[in-house]
Amino acid sequence: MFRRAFLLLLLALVPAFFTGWMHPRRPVWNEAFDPIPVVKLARLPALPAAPALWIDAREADAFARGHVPGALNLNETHWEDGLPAVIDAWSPEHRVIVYCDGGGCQASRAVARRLRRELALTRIVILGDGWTALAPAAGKVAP
Amino acid sequence: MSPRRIVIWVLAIALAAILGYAGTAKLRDPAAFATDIENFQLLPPGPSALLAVYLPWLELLLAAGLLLPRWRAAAGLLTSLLFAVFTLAVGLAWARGLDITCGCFGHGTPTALPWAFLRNLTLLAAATAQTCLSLIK
Repeated sequence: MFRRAFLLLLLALVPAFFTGWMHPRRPVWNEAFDPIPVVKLARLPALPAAPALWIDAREADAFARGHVPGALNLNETHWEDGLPAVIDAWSPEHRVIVYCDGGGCQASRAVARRLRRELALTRIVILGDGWTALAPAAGKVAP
Repeated sequence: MSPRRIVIWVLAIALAAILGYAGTAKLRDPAAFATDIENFQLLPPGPSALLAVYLPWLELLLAAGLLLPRWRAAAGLLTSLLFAVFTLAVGLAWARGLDITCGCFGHGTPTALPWAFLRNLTLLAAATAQTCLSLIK
């Protein structure tokens, strides 16, 4: 039984290899092995100085309730609507900081990846603790 | 056919159908499934991507194995282990309060984590029962 179980585990490697190589929607391998850094708010000042371009990856209603001053709203739901403003605002010296609700939210990761892929951004980070950490910072929240 | 054999066949067919469906659904978009795995925050992006192309095929092979009597015990054992890992991963995500979809049946099928946890627990019980019954002579 254990020999057959081991054989099943090995057999799955063969089609998996071809899926990773040829599937039209295979993972982007260089992205997977060169992940976008995730930093906490407290660690942001430790990064090399650069003007920040804040991207709020939450939905529009959450963005309307409050966001980082100057942040641009860009999420996968309304990607085409939000992208032109990001392209206008971005310049090569910017560090792009993408955030969503914080904790376990997935939007910032998806938006950061897509930005890096479509705009070939190199200076981009994800704010791991997101809006949860940003919101209490009085004076930094724009209604 | 003895009642025991009927139970084994019913469990094997049900588990094979679920694994077959899950594997096929995940294969539609391995890149999105890689993100789903990554969102569990248990693996870095690289291993998540490797798992995203491997896991669907393992599920499909296990589905086929469960339907072949000579392979059933081995496939059942691996299926039980697989569901144990899934249950643990979903349970950990739920306990940590992560706001994610489980990706159990591919990307874009949002399932609340508590529901996914209970479903995986049920599947784990079914797979374990099937394996034990298959092993008893």
